[in-house]
Amino acid sequence: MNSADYALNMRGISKTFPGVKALSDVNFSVKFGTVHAVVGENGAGKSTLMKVLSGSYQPTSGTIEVGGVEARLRRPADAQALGIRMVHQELNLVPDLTVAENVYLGRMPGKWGFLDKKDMLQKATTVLKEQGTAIDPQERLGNLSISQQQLVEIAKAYAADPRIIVLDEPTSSLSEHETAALFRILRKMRDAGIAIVYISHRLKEVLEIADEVTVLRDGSMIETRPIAGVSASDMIQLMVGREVSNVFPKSPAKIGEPVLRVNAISDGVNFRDVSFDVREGEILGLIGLVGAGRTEVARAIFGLANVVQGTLTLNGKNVIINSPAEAVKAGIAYVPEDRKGDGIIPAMSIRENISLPVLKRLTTLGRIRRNADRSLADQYVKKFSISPPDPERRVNLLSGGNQQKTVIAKWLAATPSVLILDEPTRGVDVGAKAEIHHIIGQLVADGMAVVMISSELPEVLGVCDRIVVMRDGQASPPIDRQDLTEERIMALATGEEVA
Amino acid sequence: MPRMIALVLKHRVAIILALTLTISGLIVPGYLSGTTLSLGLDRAAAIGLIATGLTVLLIAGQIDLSGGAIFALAGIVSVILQPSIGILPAAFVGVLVGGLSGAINGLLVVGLKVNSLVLTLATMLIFRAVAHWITNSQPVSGIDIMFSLAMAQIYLDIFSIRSTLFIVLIVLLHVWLTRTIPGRNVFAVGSNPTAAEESGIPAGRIIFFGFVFAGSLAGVAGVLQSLVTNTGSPVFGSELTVAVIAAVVVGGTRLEGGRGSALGTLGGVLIMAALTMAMEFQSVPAYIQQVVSGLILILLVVLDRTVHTRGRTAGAIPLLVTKNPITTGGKT
Repeated sequence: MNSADYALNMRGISKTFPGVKALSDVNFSVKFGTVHAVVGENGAGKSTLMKVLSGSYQPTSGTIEVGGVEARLRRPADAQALGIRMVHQELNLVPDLTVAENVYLGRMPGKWGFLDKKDMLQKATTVLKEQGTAIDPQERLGNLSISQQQLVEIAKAYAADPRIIVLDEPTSSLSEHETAALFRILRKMRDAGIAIVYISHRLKEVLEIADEVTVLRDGSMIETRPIAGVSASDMIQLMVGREVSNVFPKSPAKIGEPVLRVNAISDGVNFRDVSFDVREGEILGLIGLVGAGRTEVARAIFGLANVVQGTLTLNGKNVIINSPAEAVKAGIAYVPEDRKGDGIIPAMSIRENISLPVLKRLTTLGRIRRNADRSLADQYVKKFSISPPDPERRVNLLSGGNQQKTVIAKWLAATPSVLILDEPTRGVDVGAKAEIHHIIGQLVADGMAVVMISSELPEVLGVCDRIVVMRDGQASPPIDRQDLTEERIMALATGEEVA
Repeated sequence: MPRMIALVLKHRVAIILALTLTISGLIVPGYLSGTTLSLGLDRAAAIGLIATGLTVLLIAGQIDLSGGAIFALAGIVSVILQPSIGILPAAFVGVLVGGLSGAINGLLVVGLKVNSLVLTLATMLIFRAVAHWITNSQPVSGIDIMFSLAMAQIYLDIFSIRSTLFIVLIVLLHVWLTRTIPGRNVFAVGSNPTAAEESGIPAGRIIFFGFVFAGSLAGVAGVLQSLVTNTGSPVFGSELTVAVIAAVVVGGTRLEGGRGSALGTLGGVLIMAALTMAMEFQSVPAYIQQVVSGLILILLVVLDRTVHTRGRTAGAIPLLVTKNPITTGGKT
């Protein structure tokens, strides 16, 4: 096979961000007229690789050949000029324009700047019909459902007459029926000679649609194989493929009675029938792939989103929580994933951040008692060894790990009985990670109940006493740590095994 | 029934305009006469010209607070240059100053990736200060009062030069926004800049020319004002910016970008002008006029939200553009 048969040939691609090596020496080749799947855990580097291919990121090193010719992709327009089209997971469409205008966004037909609406409408109708979708091209895009928008996004890529189409989790918002329709479209495009890169964590779909599969792990390419002879469990093995190291301190805490019990709650959209309980002195892990509904469950428990069905029981009593203020009052604290956006007030000092939820308690006659405020901050700075140990330091000047410790301290000052942590160690370095695990261990030793959302399998397996695996908005019952392996969790999370 | 409501909501601007005119006509004697309407229209033209420019910018997701200052500056330039180069060349230079001021706004917003709200707040202060500086804070007079009278002439009992110019421009803008490819791209840039950029639409260039257009029109409005009054003054247009934004928003253009229309702006400008005229005729004190204008603005913004938020979460819509979509990659 000579190099002209390859639509894409990426050699030795590395990408470093400040402090993180996102890709290291990845080789990735796709032939014309094939569907090539890319699989890997969250954070394995799939998205980064595709952003390099689409021209959004510049690789730190490596070469890219498109159709046998070396290419430099400095910006998205360069990639598009070479016939590379992306179908993003987060939809890249314009809600205020019509479907037809979106399909031809940036390439609308016309003369002397005047838009040829009739021509555009006709072309868009043809493309949508070829795809077998019944979407009105004159409808305002924002009025469509997410799955319809997804199909418009694919139509947009297809209408551009591409050589390479990259689809990032295209089925995450599609029903089974719609997925089947999508696969028909993909096969048609493949048979027309288009190279299709298909990123998915739904291994069953990968087995069904792909001709070849590449597995990424921790930013490295592990293997490319033809799909024939590969099973889902082979893929899982390759995706996980590491020894579970024992760097995470296990919590030796004594486990008591259930503190929070979640009974079959649904929000009507992102998750349904989710039940679990978390006990005194226990760390309960909530794991699942991106989009499985973990964060949504946490937000609903904390009153940030509506629960349409199901109940919460706190210390044996049914509670109804409609707002975060009620949740805090009931003794639930939530440390969100988006630390910068939701967790801290960057321009305030460590002290001001920590005392924010409990200011009332520190106030006499409307005046904040400076000493009480200061001693509270001092106490946590020392206890959590926040560095530098200066309570007056502005929080945005701290490292990610120390910011996270400040956020946790902030919620502990409110003395909750249940603490929900959403990705508490994302983006912090290894040392800070260990410290945060140590802090969580202390908390449960003091009798707190902790729910920890994480995407990192080794972390969850190391820290948590029991684990709930979520997939597509549904949750497994809590499973004891001893009964789980990384492979088993991946299987549950991808739907290869039903709990 | 729901279809009726939808229809009423869709044409809310026209309906409120018709209501305003009808009720005013019934209450105020002689309101619906040529003289009143021409006067109202002429006065609306200054706001209207600036509003025309602002409509494009708001649709593109930007804002320009410096319009009133450019209005004053362009007028002053067109007056103080009259003795040396003549009335028409001076007027031309005045408009040029407006376009140049807009270009400065555009270059800084796009080049430095600064939030346009903050940036044009700053240039508003600067342009206004320059206007005071070159006039020593005194009004300046033109050389030919007869020319001013000619400029204020009413044709066909209704149209003055500037009201005609306003209406012609707004119709042209309407065609441009709805029928041309660059016009549609303006909506794309305002609605989702990331998607627009990744589809090969030059978002930065569109925003830059939006500012130039808005600045030029503020310049045109200022020059016309100075020609009509034979005066240039550094305090001209100091209350204009708020009135202009109100008129555009009443016309259904969204502050967050992506939605709006030129005809809506025409309606918004006319509603505000009709209201003001009616109340002035009834000798309603100026502060009550402002209260009524404010209430109308609130009413229309709420109606606007009812039309467009069905099936969406209302909480997701910010009240003001707080982050520059260019710098945040569309995630506000």
